[in-house]
Amino acid sequence: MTTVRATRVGKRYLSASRETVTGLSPVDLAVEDGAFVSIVGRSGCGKSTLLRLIAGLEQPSLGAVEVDGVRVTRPPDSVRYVFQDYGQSLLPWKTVGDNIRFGLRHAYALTEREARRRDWDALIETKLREVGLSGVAERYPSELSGGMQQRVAIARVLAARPKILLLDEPFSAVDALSRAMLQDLVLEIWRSHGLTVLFVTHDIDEAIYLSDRVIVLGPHGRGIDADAAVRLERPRHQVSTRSNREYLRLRGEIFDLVMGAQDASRGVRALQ
Amino acid sequence: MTAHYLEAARGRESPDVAPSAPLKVKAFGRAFVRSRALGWSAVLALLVVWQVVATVRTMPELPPLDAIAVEWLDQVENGELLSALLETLRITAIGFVIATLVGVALGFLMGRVRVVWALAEPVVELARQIPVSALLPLLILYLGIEDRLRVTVVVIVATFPILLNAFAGARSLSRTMRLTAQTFRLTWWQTQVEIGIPAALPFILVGMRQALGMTLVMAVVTGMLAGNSGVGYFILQAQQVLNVRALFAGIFTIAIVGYALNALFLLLDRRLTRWRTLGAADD
Ligand SMILES: Nc1ncnc2c1ncn2[C@@H]1O[C@H](COP(=O)(O)OP(=O)(O)OP(=O)(O)O)[C@@H](O)[C@H]1O
Ligand SMILES: [Mg+2]
Repeated sequence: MTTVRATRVGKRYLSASRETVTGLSPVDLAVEDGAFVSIVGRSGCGKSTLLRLIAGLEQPSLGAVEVDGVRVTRPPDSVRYVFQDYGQSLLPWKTVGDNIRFGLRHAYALTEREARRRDWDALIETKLREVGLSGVAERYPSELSGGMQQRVAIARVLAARPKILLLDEPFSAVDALSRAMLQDLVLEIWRSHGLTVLFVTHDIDEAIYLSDRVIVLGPHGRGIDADAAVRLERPRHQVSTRSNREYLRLRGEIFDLVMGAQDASRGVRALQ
Repeated sequence: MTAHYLEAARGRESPDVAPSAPLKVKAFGRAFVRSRALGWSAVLALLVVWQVVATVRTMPELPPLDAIAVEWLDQVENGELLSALLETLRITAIGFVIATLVGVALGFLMGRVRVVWALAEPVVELARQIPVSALLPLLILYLGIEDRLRVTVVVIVATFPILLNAFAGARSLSRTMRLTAQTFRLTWWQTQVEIGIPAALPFILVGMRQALGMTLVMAVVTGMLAGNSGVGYFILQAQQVLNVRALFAGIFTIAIVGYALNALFLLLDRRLTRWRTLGAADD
């Protein structure tokens, strides 16, 4: 079943100097329920714009986005967004525990028992353990490392029980080792919660490693250049998956495409 | 938890071996010139010089400190200085509370609601330019010289720093934070209460601290104006009867009370924005 459907959706911005800037040229996109889809492309190609449109954080200039058959005019209940700059997204004046509590209070679907039993301390600990943290509920975000902060941001989003998770370059500010661990964490969360994930990244390796599908956005808001299925077995493994032949083939082709070494239309054919 | 964390951080900096005696002295010296003890020693030295000079050469315009202290105790005991101080503090408190309410509400709304900004900005910017002393004759005409005038003057002076800082604080909300509120589907009201105000709080506190000092000054000055009440009036009276000791007693009282108010406020500030200092505990 299709859960996210974008139809000829595009965005134009008015820059500070009153010029029209193309944020995203019209694209069509359908995402299956439960899929893990990555979006890659050069800086400024409209990845974040597309994600914000799906999240209902911005209104399209053209076309429409539907989530579960309902046209998006404001942030849908079942969708939550994880931001690149966790430092600005976590509320720095709240402790880690209270940040999770914030997610719980603004949840999509809290079971009635949980909502009635406002004693959320145990629930908060559970959420933190789910992202591999414990004993940090009393700390402030600024006392944690970048990787830990992004884990808290993910725990907070999970506390809100989304069905669709949108992540915008969530690990780009995190060191390489933490990044590998966070990738596996996201995969585990995706699997165990049965989520649909849309994942924006600059990192082609990361995109292939995580996804069922990699979408390549062309530069200058040109729209979708390629849409490649990733047929690698799951569970994925940081070493063996990344040395798989199919993985390496995809990596090379998508890399060429993004770097503009190939003509865009040829690229699409090659990937199909 | 937090305390433990800070302890650990401090422990790491201390050297492993016990320092030798001269090293200890050196370290103490370095700590001393970096702490406020240095400034307090300077104040103390100044007072000693004063005392010596005033004792060696008796001058009516520079009484020795012990004489000022005796006068101060007298004035406290007979209730004059104390009631004057309470009066000044009363005006300060009322003015400060009103200025905070008005300044925060208007400044914050100007920062978050475009219409309010469009409506209020010209008025605020015009009014801000007028020295309160230029308004005084009119204010006296309208309000008399009693409490209403004094509170009004204090409020006029103290509102602007709070308002401007609350405005800056409201504008400081980052795009990501706004979008965070949206993705968690907060209503407009929830966004202001749960995210807007806390994000603006450090700015608001800076404004309030600036205003607090001005509030006390204006409460004293308005007390001198038409000779009605407060520490200002106490000083004016001392001047009229040429009681220099009482003059100094009044001045010192203001300095000490002002210092104490500021210190109290800093304490509150640190409690409310503890989360800000945690990341930068190094210096
Ligand atoms: N609020 C805005 N106002 C004006 N222009 C904008 C705005 N947001 C995005 N743009 C423009 O739209 C284009 C696409 O931006 P977007 O942030 O979606 O790119 P991106 O692919 O996410 O880039 P990056 O990889 O650097 O994050 C860019 O040219 C950008 O300058
Ligand atoms: Mg982006």
